[in-house]
Amino acid sequence: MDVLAIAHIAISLLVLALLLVIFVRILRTEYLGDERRSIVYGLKNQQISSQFIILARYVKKLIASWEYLLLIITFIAMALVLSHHVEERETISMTMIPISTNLAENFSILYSSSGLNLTSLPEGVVVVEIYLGALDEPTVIEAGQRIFRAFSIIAVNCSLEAGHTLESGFRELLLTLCQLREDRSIYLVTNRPLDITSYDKAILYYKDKELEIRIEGYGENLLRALKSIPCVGDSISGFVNSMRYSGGLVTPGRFTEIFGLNNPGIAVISNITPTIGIERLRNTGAEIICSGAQRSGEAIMYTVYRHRPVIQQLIDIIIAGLAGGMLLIIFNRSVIPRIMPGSEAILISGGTYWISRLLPLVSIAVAELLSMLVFTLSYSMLVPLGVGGEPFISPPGFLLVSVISLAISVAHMMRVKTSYTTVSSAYIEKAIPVREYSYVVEDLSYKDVSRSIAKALETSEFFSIMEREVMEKEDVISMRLRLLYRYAIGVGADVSIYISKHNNGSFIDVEVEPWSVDASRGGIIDSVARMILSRISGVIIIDRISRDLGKN
Amino acid sequence: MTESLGILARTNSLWFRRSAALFLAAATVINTILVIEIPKGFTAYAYSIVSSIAISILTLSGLKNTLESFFRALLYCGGGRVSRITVLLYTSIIASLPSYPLSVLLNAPYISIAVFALSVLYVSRISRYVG
Repeated sequence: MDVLAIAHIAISLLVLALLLVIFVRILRTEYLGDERRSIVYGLKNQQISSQFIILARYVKKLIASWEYLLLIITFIAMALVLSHHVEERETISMTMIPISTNLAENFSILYSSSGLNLTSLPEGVVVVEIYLGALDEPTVIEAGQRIFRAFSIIAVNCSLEAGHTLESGFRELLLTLCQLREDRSIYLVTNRPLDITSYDKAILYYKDKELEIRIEGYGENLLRALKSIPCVGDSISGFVNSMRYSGGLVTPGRFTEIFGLNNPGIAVISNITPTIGIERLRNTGAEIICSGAQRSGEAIMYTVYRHRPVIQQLIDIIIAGLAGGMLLIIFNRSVIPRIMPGSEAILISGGTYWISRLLPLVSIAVAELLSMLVFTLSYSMLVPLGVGGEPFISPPGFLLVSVISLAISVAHMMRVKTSYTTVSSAYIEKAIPVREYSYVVEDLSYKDVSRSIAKALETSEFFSIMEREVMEKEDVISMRLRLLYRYAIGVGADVSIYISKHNNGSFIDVEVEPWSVDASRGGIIDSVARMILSRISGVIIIDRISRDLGKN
Repeated sequence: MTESLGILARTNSLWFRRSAALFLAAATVINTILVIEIPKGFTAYAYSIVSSIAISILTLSGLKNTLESFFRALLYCGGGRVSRITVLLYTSIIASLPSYPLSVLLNAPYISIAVFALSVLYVSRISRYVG
């Protein structure tokens, strides 16, 4: 990836982050809402169901949050990593193999099914280049009254010099391969018998080209020579066999341009051996490198593996999927405590228990799907920007990463859902946490009520009073008490009590705010709130009963 | 000293409630393995810093209510500024866990410093609302 691409990505990410920040700020300040607000006289019928409004608010609360912004930015960064192009890793294995032809130690044979790049090698070291190619469309040869078709081609380019010292066996092999005449001759491989050994005047048609050539029958011994090239013979035997049955051409090197053959599949190199220049030979893109061994009748074969092993790719996909899944789980855990209390609003607005449990989870799922969409879009935009090699995770692998991440998150959400009471279609009665209490009591003065409440809390066996503030003004008494629960460490509550005169009686409004060193909601917190409220309501009821008894 | 240890023990209980520590550790391990696997370079640095911040801040966000309640209780039960700072630093150190192995792997201490600084900022904002 070049500097320009990095700059492009960085600017795109910054712009995206800026847009998201602006979006979040707008939603938070409710700027849009203020703009659209109009003055409405009278009451309007509500057209949208309250559950839908609650769901929409959930989604808004989720999407317009810093947590969601963080999640999106992390997924964009992950897409950047997964789309990063990597050079293929190379591993080399070395084996000793028996060969039928002696191969000198100063010679190497290179083979690549996708073609060798020999430009990095010094001039004069390439002895023989063999091009192997399957033609895009069959070439047609008109020789006298006969028509031949060929589907594949072998082109041999020889630079064999007298100075090359060759061992017997290997010399014969190279001479057999290099016996092609460097003129307009083309050698035909066909399973149909030829009438004569050669046709002096034949016409070759290939695509829009038309050439006058000389046709010769290619001997079986030459095909056998190709198959007996040390280390490489087995790899090209399939190609040679198919040529034998479907028909093919063997040409000298000058025909490579006509047939569009750019890179040789096999090359014989002199003076560079794997022991002294393995890096140079590997840089040609060779899949097999073969050189002579010290012992006669043996060769050293190096096999170069360039593709990342499938198992390694699978492991990377699983790890990326797990990382994405963990990120989603942590996001779920950060937003669930915030939106779960809203499920009580659904209960109050008439929704059933299972809807109240399901809607928050659906809103989280919607938010997660949106984040996955951003993840996928980022990946698809970043992949084409990569240079060289392949993306770290291929597009099908990326799909798997997304599926694994979502599956992990869904599994976590299912666990969250089922950790509550079993889902049922019936309406399940459930205690809603109470923190406030309002009451109107007749024929009891506000002063008597405040005195009773204060006394009840002061004499409570469960609480001790840490702080007490009382403010009395005209017909109103306002009290603030800080209570400490005696039977647990670091648990208490702030209680605000407002008592005012109401006709002949009093109006009481109590608000309890429990706190704890351990829990934030549920459990002991709710219990403490209930105990305080029941104590206050209890003393009022007792006062009322006493007053009624006194009357009687 | 005993008081500080008691407070740290209480803080630990915050982390183990709702398995927050478990999820933080699991996310750290998986994220570290992913960073080991990915090709090193600009993208690896960018991902490391962003993912560490996300894991730390989202984990703290999940504990926000609990931390608020904890700081309130600490204040009402007589905890002073030292206790508050102790909790703040200790919580931030634990929350920055995902960044430590990445800093070592990529030889980039600024990842940990940035994540720790953001954690301190986040926790101090929570504690500021209380009291």
